Amino acid sequence: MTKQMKRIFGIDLGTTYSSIAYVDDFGKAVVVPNAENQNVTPSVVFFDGPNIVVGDVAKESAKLYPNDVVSFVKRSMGEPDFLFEHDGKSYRAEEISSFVLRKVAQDAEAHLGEKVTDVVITCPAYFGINEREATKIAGEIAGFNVRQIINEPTAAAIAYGSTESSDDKVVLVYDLGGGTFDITMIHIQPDAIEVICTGGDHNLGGKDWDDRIVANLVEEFHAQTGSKEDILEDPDTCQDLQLSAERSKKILSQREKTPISITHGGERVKVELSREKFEAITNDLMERTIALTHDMLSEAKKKGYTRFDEFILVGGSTRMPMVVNRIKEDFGIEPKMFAPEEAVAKGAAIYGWKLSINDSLIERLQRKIGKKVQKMEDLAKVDARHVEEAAREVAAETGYTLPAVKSSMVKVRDVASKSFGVLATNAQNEEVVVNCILRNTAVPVEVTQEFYTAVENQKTVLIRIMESETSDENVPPDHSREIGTAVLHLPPGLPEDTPVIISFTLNKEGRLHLTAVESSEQRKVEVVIETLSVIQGEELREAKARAQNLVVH
Amino acid sequence: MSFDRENFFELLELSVEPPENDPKVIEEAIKKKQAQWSRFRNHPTKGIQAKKFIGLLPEIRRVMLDPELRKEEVKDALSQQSAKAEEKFVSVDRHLAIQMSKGYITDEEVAKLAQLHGLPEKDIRDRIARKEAEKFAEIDKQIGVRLAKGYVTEEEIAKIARAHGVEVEAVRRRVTGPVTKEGEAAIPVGKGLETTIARAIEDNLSILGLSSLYEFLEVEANASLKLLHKKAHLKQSEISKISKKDAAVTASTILVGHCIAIFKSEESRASYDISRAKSQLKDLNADIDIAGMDGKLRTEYVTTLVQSAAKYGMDEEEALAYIRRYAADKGWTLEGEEKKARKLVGGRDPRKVLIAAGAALVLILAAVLSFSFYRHARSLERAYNAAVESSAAQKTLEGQLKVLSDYVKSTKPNKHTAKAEEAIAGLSSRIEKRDFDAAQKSAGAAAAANRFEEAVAAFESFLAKHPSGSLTGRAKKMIDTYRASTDERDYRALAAMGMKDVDSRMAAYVGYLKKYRKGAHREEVKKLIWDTAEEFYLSLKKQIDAYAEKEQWDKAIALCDTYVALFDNPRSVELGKLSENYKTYQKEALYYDRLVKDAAAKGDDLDAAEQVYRDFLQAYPGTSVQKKVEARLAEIAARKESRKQAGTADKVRAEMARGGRFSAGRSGTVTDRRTGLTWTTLDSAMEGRSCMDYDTARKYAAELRTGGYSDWRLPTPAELKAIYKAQPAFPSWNTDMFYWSSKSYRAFTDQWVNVVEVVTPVGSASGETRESTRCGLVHAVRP
Repeated sequence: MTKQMKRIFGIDLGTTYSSIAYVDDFGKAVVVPNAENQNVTPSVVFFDGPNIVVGDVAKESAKLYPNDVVSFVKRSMGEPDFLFEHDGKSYRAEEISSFVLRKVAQDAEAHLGEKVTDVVITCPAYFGINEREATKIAGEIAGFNVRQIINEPTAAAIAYGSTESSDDKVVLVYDLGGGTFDITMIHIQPDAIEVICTGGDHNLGGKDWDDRIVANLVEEFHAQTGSKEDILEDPDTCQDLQLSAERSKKILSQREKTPISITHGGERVKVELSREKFEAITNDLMERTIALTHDMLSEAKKKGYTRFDEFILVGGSTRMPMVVNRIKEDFGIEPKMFAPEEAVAKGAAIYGWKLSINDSLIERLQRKIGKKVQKMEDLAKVDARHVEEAAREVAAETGYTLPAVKSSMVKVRDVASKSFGVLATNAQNEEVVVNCILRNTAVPVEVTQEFYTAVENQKTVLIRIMESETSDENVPPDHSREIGTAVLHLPPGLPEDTPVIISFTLNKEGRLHLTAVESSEQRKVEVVIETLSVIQGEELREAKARAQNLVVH
Repeated sequence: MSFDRENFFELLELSVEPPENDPKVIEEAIKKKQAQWSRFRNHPTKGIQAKKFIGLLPEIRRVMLDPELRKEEVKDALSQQSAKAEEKFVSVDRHLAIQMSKGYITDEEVAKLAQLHGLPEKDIRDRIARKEAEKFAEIDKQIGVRLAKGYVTEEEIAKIARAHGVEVEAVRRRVTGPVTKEGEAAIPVGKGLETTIARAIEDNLSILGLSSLYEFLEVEANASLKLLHKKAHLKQSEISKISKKDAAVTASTILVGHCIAIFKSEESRASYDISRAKSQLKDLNADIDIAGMDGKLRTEYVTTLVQSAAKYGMDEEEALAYIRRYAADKGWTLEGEEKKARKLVGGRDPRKVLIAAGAALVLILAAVLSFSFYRHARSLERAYNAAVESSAAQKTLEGQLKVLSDYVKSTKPNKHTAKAEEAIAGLSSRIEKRDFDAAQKSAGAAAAANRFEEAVAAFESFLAKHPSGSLTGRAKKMIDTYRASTDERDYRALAAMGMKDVDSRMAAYVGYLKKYRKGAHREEVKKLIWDTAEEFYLSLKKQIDAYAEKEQWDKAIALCDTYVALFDNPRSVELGKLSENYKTYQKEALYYDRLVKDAAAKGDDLDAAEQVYRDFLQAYPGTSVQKKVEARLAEIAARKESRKQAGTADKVRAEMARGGRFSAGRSGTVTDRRTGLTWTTLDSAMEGRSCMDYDTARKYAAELRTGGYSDWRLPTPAELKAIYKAQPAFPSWNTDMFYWSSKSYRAFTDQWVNVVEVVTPVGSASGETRESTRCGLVHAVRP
């Protein structure tokens, strides 16, 4: 590693497990094991008195101290009213996530003997504005310079694209993780990785399969003991069953059946769970992933993508045999399992590595041609000779091979996972959401649309910014979610129907900017969307201050 | 008021009676629940419900921390606790059930029922429609019950049709499972769904308040598989479009998954129908479970169970079959069967015995209902006589009435009932007459004292007690009369108000209109109001202006709105506009407050604070707070100035402290060691005086008493130059200002003017002059 290149780490912040990766001196992505020498760390936090313990120990402690352990917080990212109370203090999902981030980074620091400062964190493609912002803030609370938030399937595709031959091909990334499901179509080209379409459900993952086993165990307990007690009311039993459920699920991926014992209130019940039964009680969950995949495919069809070459499985839950079988049955293609637990972190690390190589490439090019090059996209305008030369120099200096350096110039293009628009009144005088940026359009994107004042001498325009799930241009208000507002003050005396031009800009990270201009006097308001459901202000400062005094084990 | 959601008092486990009103306690309870729900957010089975409650939190806060909304919530809680609204219709329903048992109901009968219950015919017809719907729901339920075993037989269908007086075909159409003939080779009996799945479906349906997946997909329970499949996928894409992922949507998402999985084949669909049927029998199953706790079912339990099975529309035979099958599944033995089984060799079907037992029970029940009249004729007579006697012994009429009514209520109708009812009617009318007289007496007394309200109240309480007696009409008439008197009295009082101030007169007029919505003098009072309009306007305007002067916009707006609400005339238009303006001012005042806060937040950074105000002026020119903002700007400018001055004074002092050329003299003075002259430490500008012309400057110097000296004068040009131009010079911040010297002369430019020699601290060293009318500073010197 040379001095002038900053190492950027990739972190997969998962619902159930998290991991961290970096690109080693040979240009290869490597997952860094944690202090327990495992490549993945359970995203579980245990408040042990004044200490904060993350990972396996925390997960095992759940059985003994169920009230001091919190897990699955990723599902509550961006939920304003989720609060975990401990010892009189309340923690938001962002803050709890920051503990997980610190744990994986800290262990990596110990392992590599080098400080982790800059990171790329992944999130499900399906995350909206609020959830993304929350993820970024989690990284900031943990004390990192968060260089970018990228989509998990995109990261997986980057990792996949960097190992496989760089032919032109279209792949489907079926990412079934611990808590979320993402299905994404990605076009891998020699010089670009382009997301075509994305869909999914951020409340569907391995945990739901576990929960079904838990429910089944409760039924079995009732049947065998004749008791009608809700044994999940007992936090110890509840945690215990959840752990057994996860374990049995994993065993059932290897074997046809597994014994499980349920201990509650002094009674011990033995159950045998077969794979067949397991698949019967989770069939509907499997069906949902298939239905969502079909939805995404018909979306892609609208964009002219009518075929795909490969079906890639990512995420630990794809190890369940039913996933492969069901996909074969429905799509007639043999899906490829690709480093299910590691692909995302590795992809993020490769992306971070690209960012830092890009930095030095750009720096060199600027010196060569004597003018500013803002981003990699501008390279197209630069003389290819200069680019080649700069790449050669970077390669010589860093020790990476020239093709590796050049591969960092591969462009990554993503799409918007939601539609964004404003609330307006239509000709029938009904409120309707007019989508300006449609879901699945490539980002960054800027869209400008004209609206009109409703009455004569209107003084203000309240712009209500809405997020929705469809790529329809008009959406009823109750099918969308308000994510922010802006007020445009108009000069007096404007006639009715004065045009107001609103432009939406969605950047690569999925952050939204909005500008509104009133055409007669060119007055404008510019706003960065205030994400309401995210920790902010005083609360954020407190969380950051608190983080500095905390040691995570 | 009733809400379509959980009652928040119940959800937060707060006291309803008396209602919890302490915001602190409520906030505590909310916090506690928030923590609890957050903890349950990822619970394996209660997660979605927790999510739903978390989603309700903003609404809970809004309602529970607002006194008015909270009151509504209390009302809702109370009404939920005592839901008795339907009671009124109970007897109507009973009569309807009787009339309809023959299978139809005639128009004539409807009319009669309407008359009997004092209801419009439409209400009765609505009721009938509901009964019909209930009947089909009941038929569906009975089909479901029979389907629980996996199929339905033709015989069962026929039976159901008979029992409900409908065509066999109508019943068959509603059967969703396999149909077979009794005794036919058993078709493969469908198994229900996995209990885990069935439970998951039920839990999520209950979050949506639905009872079946069919209802969820908005189709009939007998819809074709193809339609169900299509509907499920439609629903899926519809739900995936919803952006708000609240608990309802999450539950729907899960249900769609089940629909897709279940409505894939007839087989899995039949499994669902069977599970559904089974779940309808949940209570019965629970009863059987209790009865079979020790591994066998006693005969006496079985008879009880047969009775409870009747609630599900099973006859004895079916009930027995069901119970037996259930027991067999559990591996229990039926006590009766065990014994009889041995006798089976004798060719007796054990089932018959049980049926006989059931039938006997039914017979006994029937006997209780229909033959008691004869059996107890004698004892009835005795009971009646006892009631009459005991009634007569009561002191009060009410006591007598109660004894007789209790008697009527507690006995089945018999030949004595009519007599008793007659006596009851007599007593009732006596009570009514007595109460009426009492009301009349107290009302009369009150009216004599002009207290008509009390008189009305007396009759109203009479009416409350006797809402439909023979004297009701008279009581109502009395109330009307007294109300009219009140009206008259109040109106006279109004008319006599002539001399009072206009505001209280107007209030009284409006009060009258509000109180007497049908008053006899409304038109006159309206006219009074119209006549007073201008006077009222003038009075209001004065007050409005006063408030506007003090910038109490809310009060001014309230007054404007008062007038606007009353009148529709040019004045109201004027005040309406004024109110609008004031609202703007009020908003602008708010902006201004925020502005001041923003500026204050800049702390010592006066430039930033100044920028805040300047930005505002640029963005909002011509607002009502412009002047104030400008004043703030001037203030900031002054502060900047004085800060500059303070800086210079500090420099002067620092210089003196260094002990170089200048040394401190008596307070406020400084001595130049080089010339021996004494100067004031601060020049006129630093003292806070604005610049002045030459005459004023001389006067200013002469009147100075700094350091107790009275011999201050303007310095000569040479003296000024000596301190400002010779290094180390006296510190000065007034780079663009000049100091007046004592030397002046007249000169001609285009007219004769006084010219004075001056010194500017920076700039050329010699020969500067200014006309005496210009504005300069003074740095005085002595002696």
